[in-house]
Formats: sequence, structure tokens, C-alpha cells
Amino acid sequence: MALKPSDFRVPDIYADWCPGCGDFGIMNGLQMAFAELGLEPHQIAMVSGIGCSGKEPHNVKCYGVHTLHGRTLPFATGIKIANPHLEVLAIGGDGDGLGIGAGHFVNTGRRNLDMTYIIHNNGVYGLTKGQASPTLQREMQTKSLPKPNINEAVNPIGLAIISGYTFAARSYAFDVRHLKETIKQGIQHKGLAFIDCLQPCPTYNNIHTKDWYAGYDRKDENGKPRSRLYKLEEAGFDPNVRDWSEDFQKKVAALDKAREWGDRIPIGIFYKNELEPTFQERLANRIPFYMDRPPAKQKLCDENAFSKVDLTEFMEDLKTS
Amino acid sequence: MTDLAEKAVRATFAEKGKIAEMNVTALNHAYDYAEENLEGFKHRLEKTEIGEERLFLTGNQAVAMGKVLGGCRVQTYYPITPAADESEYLEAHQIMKTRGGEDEAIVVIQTEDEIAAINLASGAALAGARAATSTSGPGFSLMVEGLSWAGNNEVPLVITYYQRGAPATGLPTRHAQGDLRFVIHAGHGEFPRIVLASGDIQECFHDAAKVLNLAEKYQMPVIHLLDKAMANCSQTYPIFEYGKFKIDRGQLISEKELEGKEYNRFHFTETGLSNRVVLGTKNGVHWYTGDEHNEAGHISEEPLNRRLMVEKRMKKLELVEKEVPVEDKLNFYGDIYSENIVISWGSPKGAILESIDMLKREGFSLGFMQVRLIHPLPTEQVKKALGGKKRIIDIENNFLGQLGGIIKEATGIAPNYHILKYTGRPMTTTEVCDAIKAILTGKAPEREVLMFGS
Repeated sequence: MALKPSDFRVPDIYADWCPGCGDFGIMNGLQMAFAELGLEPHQIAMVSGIGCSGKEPHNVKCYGVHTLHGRTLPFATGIKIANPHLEVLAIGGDGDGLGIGAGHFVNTGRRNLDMTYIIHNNGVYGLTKGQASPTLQREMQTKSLPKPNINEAVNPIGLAIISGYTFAARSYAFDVRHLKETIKQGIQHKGLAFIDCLQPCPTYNNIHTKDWYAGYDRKDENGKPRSRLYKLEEAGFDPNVRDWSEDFQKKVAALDKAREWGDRIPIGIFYKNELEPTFQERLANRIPFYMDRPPAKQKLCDENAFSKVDLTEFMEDLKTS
Repeated sequence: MTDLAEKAVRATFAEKGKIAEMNVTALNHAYDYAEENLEGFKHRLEKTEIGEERLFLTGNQAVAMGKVLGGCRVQTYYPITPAADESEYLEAHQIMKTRGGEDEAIVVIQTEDEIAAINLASGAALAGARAATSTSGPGFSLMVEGLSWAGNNEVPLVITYYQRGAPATGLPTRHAQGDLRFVIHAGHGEFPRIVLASGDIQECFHDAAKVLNLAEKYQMPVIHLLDKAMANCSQTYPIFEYGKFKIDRGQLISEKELEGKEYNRFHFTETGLSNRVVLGTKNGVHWYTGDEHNEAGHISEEPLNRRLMVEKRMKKLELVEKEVPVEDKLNFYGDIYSENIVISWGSPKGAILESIDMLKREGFSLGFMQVRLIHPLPTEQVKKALGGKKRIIDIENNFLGQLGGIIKEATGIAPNYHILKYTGRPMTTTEVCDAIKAILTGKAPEREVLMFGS
């Protein structure tokens, strides 16, 4: 029988995020996506770093690995390489993935493992009381900053595309339906999928609030707020690379879209390319039985526990007389 | 006169005929010059008949073979001297034969830094692969936070650590044994780890396989501590025996054993060891976190749980001390009943063994205790071996005499002589032999610093 989103809840666990936190929306989006894809809890490994987002796996029933600050991607990579049949999701904050973990962000792109990476992007370090994160624009002064932010912001979608991620999308924590669909597409994508998930931090980011995203400060003549978010799909944007000849143009178009911020913020898929070989395919080219007997599934010993390895060839190479 | 040398030169430049001939000409020219101009020059290279096939290999190669034998199937690394050759050798021999079965393979991943290397290996270990990473001092410095996570989460992880001259970049291509205290104490907080040090290339091979068992059996990181002098130098050995090596995966349990049972990854037990389930196993869903956790693996700051979790982790070390056989902890050589004993670890072993033989021929009696399991230190056995000795001579490639200090802390027995060397050069038999002899004849200070080598 197919599982329901509620089957991915963890009984007796109290999510200690602040009321109104976008993390609740992302949690719901994940649980709905898993259920709709027909996954079972044991087939999924959710890996997180440090920050409010780091607690996400504790609130979803599946294998959860809550790791170190910035190190989500190396752990996730190790899990996926050892057992490529696991559905691996890496979860991190903007500081986690684009500050302390930026080196891993870039280098994981070079591998194109078939997994999904979701960044919780709220512009602040919530867990340490609201310092500027790498996605906060220069001159912004959120609530707990003593001075306006002196650094420019990183562009997560742009960085993902030029680092080699073959799927780059953005969604919004309080549009759970859109988020759920985006997560599903990220999981189904053959290759490394990056999702930049915008979310308000109700406690420390008093600029990019839920009302700001919804446009309550810019109502139309009928008094209706005009949302700052618009959907790429509805705007006729085509992110799909169907042939290598169009890859460069698609990348440029995606980078151009990724520059938009302020009164018009695109959500949806910016770039998608399934032509690039995944890391598993690259490994299987060298190790023909890699997918059948990946590192986690090899039988190391015979029935009497003796190691099965025959070192004759190694020794022959090293022999001298 | 130079037949053998010519053969060697031609073999070295086998693919570059012209260069080979140029070198042979130079060789003969030099030889003729020496014969004409040096008085009494009668140097001849003679072939030694050994009558058996032997291996000629480096420590890096021995470790790589040991890892393959021991079931390591994911190896991560970031390029660093003198460790990287091991990973490259493994990648070159990625697919391996098995006895009458399907081939197996090791996946070698060159990561973006050592932080990724250790954490990627931890991830692979959680997913059920035997995993290791290989590095030297600067790389291990970057790995320390990951080591702490692995300790907290009881990850079976092997770190092969080849020491080189330090601190900082130090003497990057030279030898030292200065990182013993570092590996024993590295990481914030208190958590268990095993530190095993091999003393020669053959031990490197066997220990590289054994540490993979220790990591899974005791569910903790194991540091296999080696040094530059073993890593990149070549030695000949009789063919290694390995047919009796057994894989012991400890309390790893399968999907079948989980059926109908509630599973908690960090279940409290008498020994401190809980049943381990790899990610992806049906009926075994659980959590890991770098925070303190409860039995299920969820974050918990509850005081009693905290106390029990700390104790659970730490008491596994008592188990290691109790269960690891003494022959894997300490090696004894020479006259162990003598009033004189040498203590050491790692690569000085070779020079010490030869010195003992030489000194024996001169009528000196001397024992030698080589410590392999340095953490947890086999305190009782060490105490027994050192109790009542007149001269305890500590020989190490560092300034502090780190092993001597560790033994003093644990047993209250301190070495009364130190032979130390920290020039970046390995110890030679001659200087070790002379230094020991000076001590035994009452002519040496308590601390001798060796200098041989340019």
C-alpha cells in the first residue's frame, strides 16, 4: 500500500523551530514528495549540516544523518558512492553550503552524482542569532546586524550552474505544492539536482519576510498584494537541454534569470541537463559491476570468514629475484 | 666489470634507449676514472643468490595490499606527501580477483580537501562499506572535526597516517615521529579511538588489514600510524602469507535479524557496543547526529542520557584493552630478562633490532619492547615488562620522547635514557648501536640526539 505523507512523520519528536519558520514548510514538502514518489523510509538517506536546517532529518522518518557544519555534501557523497541505490538527499543552510561549505558545493558539482541538494536560504544564520549569511545582499541590515552587511551576496543558482550541477531550481518554503513538485523533479532528475529554497526567518530576517515575498508592501489598485515571486514555467522559460549544442545558450539564459531579485524573483527550474554522465555511470565505466556490487554490497569473506581476496596478481607485480 | 650496473641502468631507462646509452657511457667513464686514479679501488658488484622469490615493495604498497585484503572498498584522499602513493596504487589496482568468486573493486576518490576526505569516508562507512582515508600531518589537522564526529557516532573508520617532519609544512618530504600525542588527543571532547603503529613494511601489510576489523568490531575510528621512513622506502621480504586472514564485522546485523523488532542504533548495553545496521536496511531506520543523542540517534541534552552515552562510548576502550591479543599490542625481541630494555615504536625498529644483534656479539645483553597498540595502551603488560629494569632506553624520532612520556603517565615508570633524532632523517644502525653502547658502558648522558645523514 502506498505510503502517505504522515507515514514519514517521526512520532515523539518535537520540531523546535520558531513558529512561522520556513523549515516546517520544507519538512512538509519533503514528506509529501517522498510519499508521492512511492518511496519507503529505509530507501532514503537524508543528510544535513549544522544550522536550523540541520534538524530537518530528525523530523522526517527515513535514515537521517545530521553531520558537521558545511560538510553535508561530503557525507552525502560517501553514502551515495558506497550504495548508489539509496535515494540520497543533502540538506543544508545558506551559511552551511555557501559559506563554510562552499568548497564542497563547487567540487560536488564536478561529480554529478545522482542525488538532490536543498539549501534553506533565509539570508541569516538563525541558530547563532541572526548574523548575515552569504546570500544576504550588501547594505541590507537585518534585525541583529550591528551595521549593514558589508559583503556582496553569492548567487546560489549561478554558482550551481557554473559548478556543474545539471539541475538548478528555486522554490519557496511557503508554496508547499510548488516545493513538493520541485523536490520530486530534483529526485527524479538523472544527475545532481540543486534546489535553492527561499524561506523567511521570522525571528532574524525582518526584511525578507513572508509578507515581503507576498508583496504586502506593493498592493495593486484593488488593494491586493502583488507577490514578488513568479513561476518560470508560467513565463514560458524552457530550462531543458536536449542537445549539447544548446547547452551554452541554456546556461547563459539561466544565469541571466538567476540575476533577477527584488521585485521580480523567479522560482522553478532554471537549468536541466541529463546528457552529462552521472558519477555512477563514470564509475561503472571503470568498474563494470559497480551498480550490481557497489562498495557497500560486496561480500568480503567466504562462509568461514576468510577474506576472499586473491593477492596473487599484486604479489606478481612486486616480485623480484 | 660493470655488467650488473649497466643492466640496472638499462632497465631504469628501458623506454629511452638513447638516454640509457648515455648513462652507461657515463657509468663506465666514472668507473675507469676511479680505477685509474684511486688507490686500491677494487669495487665489484656481486650478485647475491637468495634462492627464493621475494617481494620488493614500499610501505605505501604494503598498506594498499593490506587494505584490499581487509575489505576496504572505499578509499578517499587529498594529495599529500608521503601518503598519496598509496591511494594511486590502489586506484591502479581498483579491480581485484577473489578466490573462486566474482571480482571485487575498491572505489578511490580524490576529494577537494582532507575535510571532505574524512567525512566522505565516514558516509561510506555508515552506508556499509569498509572505508578508509590516507593522509599526513597537515591533512590530519584538517580532519580533526570529522574525527570527533566519527567518534561520537561510533563510525568504523580507518585513517592511515604517515608522519613527516612538522610543525606546519615542516620537512614535507622527510621523516619524523612527532605526531603520536597529536593522534591520541586530536578532536574536541572525549571519545574513544584506537591508535596502532606498525614498525616495518611487513607489519604495515598485516596491520592495514587488521585495523579494518578493529574499526568495525569496536565501532570507532582507528588511526594506523606510520611514518615517512616506511611509506616511500623499498625493502625486500619473503612473499607475504595472508590466507588465514579473517574478516570480523562485529555486531553488524542484517534485515532478517531486524524483523519484528524495535531497533535503536545506540542501544545501551553492558559492553558499550550496540548492534549496527547500515543505511538502507529495511526495518532499521535510525538517525545520526553530531549533537549528543539518545539511543535512537535523536538529539538529546537530558543529563542522565548524556552520562550514559559518554560512558557507553568510553567503555568500549576497556573492551579493546581486554580483547585484542597481546601479540597485536606489543612485540618483544632480544633478551627480555636483561636489566636493560629499549622501548620504541614505528620505523626505528629495524635499526634497533640490528643493533641488538651487534651488541650481543660484543657481549651486551638487551631486550626490546616495540609498542604497536599505543592507544589504548596495554598498561598492565607494559608495567610488567618495564618493572625492575635498571636501564630503560627510549628511542624515538622526535624531541619529546612522546612514547616514553605516555608510558610514564600510564604506568608511573619513566625511561631513564632517551635516544632521539629530529633532523628529518631516519635512524641508522650504526648511530643507534653506538648510542646504546655508550649508555650501557656508562658513557652517555641521559639524552642523546642523533645527527647522522645529510
